[in-house]
Amino acid sequence: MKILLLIVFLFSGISQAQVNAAQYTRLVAKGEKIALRLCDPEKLPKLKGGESPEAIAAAVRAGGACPPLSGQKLEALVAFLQAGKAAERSGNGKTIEVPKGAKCPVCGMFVSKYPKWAAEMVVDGKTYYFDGVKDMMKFYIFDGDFPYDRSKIEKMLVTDYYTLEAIPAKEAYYVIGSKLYGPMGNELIPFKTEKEARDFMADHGGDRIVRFDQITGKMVMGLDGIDYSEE
Amino acid sequence: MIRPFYAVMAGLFGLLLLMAGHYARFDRAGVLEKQRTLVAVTGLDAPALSVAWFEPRERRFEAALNPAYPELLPPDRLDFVYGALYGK
Amino acid sequence: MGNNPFFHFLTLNLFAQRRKHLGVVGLSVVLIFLLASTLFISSSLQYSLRRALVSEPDFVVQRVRGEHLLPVPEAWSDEIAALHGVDRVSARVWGRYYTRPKGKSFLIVGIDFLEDQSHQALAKLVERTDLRKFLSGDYMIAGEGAARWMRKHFYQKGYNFLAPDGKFIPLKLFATLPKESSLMGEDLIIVPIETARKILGLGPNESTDITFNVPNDDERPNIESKVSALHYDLRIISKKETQGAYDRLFNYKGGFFLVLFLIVLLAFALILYQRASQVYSSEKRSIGILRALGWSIRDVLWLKLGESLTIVISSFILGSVAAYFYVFALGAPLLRQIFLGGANLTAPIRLVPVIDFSILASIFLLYGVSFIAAVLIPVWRIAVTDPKEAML
Repeated sequence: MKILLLIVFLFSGISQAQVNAAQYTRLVAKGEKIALRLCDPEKLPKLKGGESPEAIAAAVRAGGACPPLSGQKLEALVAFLQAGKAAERSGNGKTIEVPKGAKCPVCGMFVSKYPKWAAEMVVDGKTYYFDGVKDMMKFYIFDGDFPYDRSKIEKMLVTDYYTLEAIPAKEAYYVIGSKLYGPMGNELIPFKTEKEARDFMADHGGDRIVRFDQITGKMVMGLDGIDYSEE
Repeated sequence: MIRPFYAVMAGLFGLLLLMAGHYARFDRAGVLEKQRTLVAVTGLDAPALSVAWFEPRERRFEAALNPAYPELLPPDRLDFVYGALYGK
Repeated sequence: MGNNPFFHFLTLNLFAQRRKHLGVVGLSVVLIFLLASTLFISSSLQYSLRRALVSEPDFVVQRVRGEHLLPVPEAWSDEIAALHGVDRVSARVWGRYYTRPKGKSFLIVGIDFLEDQSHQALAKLVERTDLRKFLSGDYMIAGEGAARWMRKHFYQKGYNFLAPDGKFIPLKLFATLPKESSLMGEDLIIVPIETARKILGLGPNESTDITFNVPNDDERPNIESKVSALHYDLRIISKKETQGAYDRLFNYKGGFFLVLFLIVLLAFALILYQRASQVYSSEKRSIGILRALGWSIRDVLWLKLGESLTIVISSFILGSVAAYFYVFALGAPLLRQIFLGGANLTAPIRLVPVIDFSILASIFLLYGVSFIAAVLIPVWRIAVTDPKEAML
């Protein structure tokens, strides 16, 4: 029992590497903000690559693009200039906007009551909203019950669990069998990266991680406890 | 004496109308928005509450609390209100 | 209605004994005024706070030893940001600055202008766009009360703060916060974060606490337990707890006042009852005469009911309207010290008018029913006795 607890604790802790990665990302983001807000972006030194941090710092100070910066701010600016591009933010901070009266075509529930679980599919100009990934997959897989032209699907979006942003369904990682219930019971929970999906499984339990192409009708109906087999 | 009675009733009704008018015309959204913006800036939401803030340098000891029985609170502390915040 | 003799008689009666009635109305107005203004202040404060709490961050992390707050090192922000599901981690610098000779304390808050949210919000609040000047120079933005205190003590342009290491930090006044926000920002002084660190004696990598948001509320208990497990001296406070604490605070303060008030109410109720049934003998005689004239018991009761109802309604309306304007137009100068500190607020604040009809209705019923009962029962008792005896 104790060993089990220890293992769980170890898995749910954070490693030093993770901390350092986060630290670096924040430093670069801070440097970007300093470059935009405090400094004149035109006058910043253009790097050719491979210069040492001290040289870059000296160039910044000499160039006069910025007001005198403290050590920390200078370090952030140097890190930003070294990274070369703006700190990429996967996702754009947008959530799925669900209109007030939208109903899920599979179960008939009002989707706007559960905005954290919303999924969206645009087919041939029409937009469908679902109150969970499971319902969207039912809509997608079972062409007997829901006949429409599957080649006309324009986009499919799901809501990432941790940040509540909209991510394309085909790029997400789904966790099956966790202890967390959605509005329709057992759910496929989407994540942006596999690492996030794994850490989620360590916290909330889960059987496995699947990608969009690996989802079958049997899996989806299995979430509801129904034994379904393809004929 | 009916006319004075009517006058009194009309006066009271007028007061009610005045109150309703003030209530309706009050710029509620503006005030709330300014307060919300201030909280967004500072992140601290406490209203300017409480008795005069005691300064340990003035009082010469920290909080007049008996260290042996910390639950026996002096009258100017409100720990039983904020207790769950700091009792963990 | 004008030809109804009953109505004539009613109004006649009202104005005939106007001194007695006015006394009763006056007492009732005072009682209702106190009660209603307490309730108005309490509900308005709760309303404002609950609405403003929306923009507060979800969690606050502090470092404690015993009862004291220690400065939080920067490394903690990175550890928290490395957790999944955590958004917008920012370090806050704030503290109380006390000036001993004048006995005044300010709340100093440092703003990091590289945070988008604070930057935009502050520009909107102060309505100036040259915040870059604010950031680079030695400026401060003061709340209404702080600015007024400085003017009163002849610090026209700015104030010199004494840092813990003995150096003076002179700061010039850049702008004043709008007075609608003085409920929260009365003695507030906003400065750039580096200046705040110097005044409060924190090192360049230290802060008072760390705040962060968790967008998915299913994840919040999980994150809370993970963050508490990071360090032994870490304390995490969630927004739910703060909300609960303030609700409890207002209920406590309001309840404390109400208990005292109930005692006063009882005393007044006795005086009221005595006064209302004071002119016992002349009342007895007038009712006896009415009965002898042929009025039925029901008519007599209707008459007295009409009288007392008029008194109840007019005193209730007068009391409530007076309380409303006292609280929401004047800012409740003395009564608000029950809820808010007298030391920090010295000028009118604007409270948002919030009328809770359920409470007003219960005050009305409590007061009205007991008053009418107190008047009608003795009247009924007189009315059922023989007119001949009553007229004596």
